[in-house]
Amino acid sequence: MAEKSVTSANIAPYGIAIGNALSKSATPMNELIALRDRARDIVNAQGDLAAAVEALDAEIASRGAAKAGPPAGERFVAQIGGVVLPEKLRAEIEKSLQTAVMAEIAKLDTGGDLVATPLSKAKLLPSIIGSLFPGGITMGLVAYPPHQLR
Amino acid sequence: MSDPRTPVLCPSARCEEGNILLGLVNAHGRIDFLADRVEIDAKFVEVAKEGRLPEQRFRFSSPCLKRGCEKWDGERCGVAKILHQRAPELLPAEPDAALPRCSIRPACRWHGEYGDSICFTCSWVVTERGNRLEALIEQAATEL
Repeated sequence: MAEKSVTSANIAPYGIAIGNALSKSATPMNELIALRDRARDIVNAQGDLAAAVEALDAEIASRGAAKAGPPAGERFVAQIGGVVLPEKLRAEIEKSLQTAVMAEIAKLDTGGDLVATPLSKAKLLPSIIGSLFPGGITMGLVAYPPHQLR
Repeated sequence: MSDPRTPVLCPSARCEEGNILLGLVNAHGRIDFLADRVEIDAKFVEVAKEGRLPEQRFRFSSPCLKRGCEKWDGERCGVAKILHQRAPELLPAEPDAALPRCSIRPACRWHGEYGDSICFTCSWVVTERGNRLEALIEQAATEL
């Protein structure tokens, strides 16, 4: 007999509750609909929360970068309802998702390296950083093995 | 660096397959560090090199080359030494400010040599800056 998931105002209608409901083919339709409707209400009530977090981050940073908290992070979900996939296939899909996400991240360019910062204005000794341009210019702080110098 | 078998990591390396994506250069010129250690693959390197230099847009980590690196001063990292000298100017005003998140701290060369204070400086480090010509001109102007 299917274990009935309990949905109430006290239990968030996602995570374990939805996972349990989806993993059991015997979950009653009315329970699935109730879970879906409750979850949809919560999503709709948030509005564009992600954009709001970004706006807050930007405002906090503009008032003093040191006070800005770390980014919340990103999570991408591909949802396939009604099926339970083999673990090996799930792992392959996860790996493909990660590769796809990283390939998109590789395109990121905020131009932040062109922003003047306290460190970018520093005059560093060429004898220490091994700059190709003598004169104390901060050309970058990357470690190049001698045979890889450009 | 708790385990001597763990390679010491450079936190300002090149965009090469197998290296770690340490963080992204954000619009304010600081680094948003990744929470988890993520290795970049050939696809990432291929795509990243289609744009401006990846080292202008991201921070990467790879095993420290020590004497194989031009920045090695014979005993320790020359870059970390300079950053340590600059640290007092770049420390946050709040005495209890949290360290930036970091996926390599226990194995990081810089942290191993100078401790937590260099982590606050590290978040300002962009491996390759994009305005080389402008920096040259600015430098020349200040020295006239």
